[in-house]
Amino acid sequence: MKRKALKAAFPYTIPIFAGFWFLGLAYGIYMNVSGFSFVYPMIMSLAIFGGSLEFVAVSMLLSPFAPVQTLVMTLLIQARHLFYGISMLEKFKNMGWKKFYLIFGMCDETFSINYTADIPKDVDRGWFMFFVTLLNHFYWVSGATIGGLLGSLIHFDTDGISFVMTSMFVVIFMEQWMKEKHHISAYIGLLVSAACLILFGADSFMLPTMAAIIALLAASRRKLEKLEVNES
Amino acid sequence: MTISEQIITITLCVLGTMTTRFLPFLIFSEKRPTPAFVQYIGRYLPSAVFGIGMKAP
Repeated sequence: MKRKALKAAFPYTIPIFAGFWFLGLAYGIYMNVSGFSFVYPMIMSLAIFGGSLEFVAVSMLLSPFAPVQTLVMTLLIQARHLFYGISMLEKFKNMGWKKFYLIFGMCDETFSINYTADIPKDVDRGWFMFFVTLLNHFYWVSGATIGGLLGSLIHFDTDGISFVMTSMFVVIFMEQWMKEKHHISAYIGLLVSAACLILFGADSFMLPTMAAIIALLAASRRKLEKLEVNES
Repeated sequence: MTISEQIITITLCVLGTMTTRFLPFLIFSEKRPTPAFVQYIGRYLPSAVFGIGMKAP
């Protein structure tokens, strides 16, 4: 059962491997050249497992001690996970002990795969999602640790690498697009985030985007649920 | 920053992150049915959220 789930899960994680491993490497190198032992990127990538925050955390560690600011900043950067949790409430039901790890390791990429993947009927869903999470976690931690060890020995240009992630999200967005019967929610997401990006800038557009999406979805509930009834 | 201040900073990053990941599951437990509105939001959020993902890698 486990073997089958691993075999089904692995292909979905290959693009993540490309992206995570090199980004992790870049993160480890960045920590190393900032004067930290490889133990830091290793433990942080293992326990936080969230790329954008870990990069910001490097500058937090280099600045004067500011616990309140650290916590507020963390909650702001990570707030989008609340959305992932709400979306996975039903899918994570009855997962037993695996549920804890599935929630713990629910970074953007893991969530995207676990939400959209077409898991074959004869594959155990719990183990499938478990292995997607575990493989992604492994790529990220191994990249960060190796980067932290090799540090200043290697120089490479990571400019193009984050594009792997962006293109993966485009693919996932399109897959979701082809699955759904109408695209009202997708349009809401695209338009709201574009508008907020222009209004608030890249550093602070996330919270207003989240609030506006919830508000618009709440406002269109009657209409969307009517469409659902008509479909079925 | 001293070592203990570093440990506190990293711990706060972990705690903050896990708060955002675990909170929905703590509020809406398996034992009680999830409110219809939250279920509705959960169904339609992903399409909207993947749109954000493309802009904020």
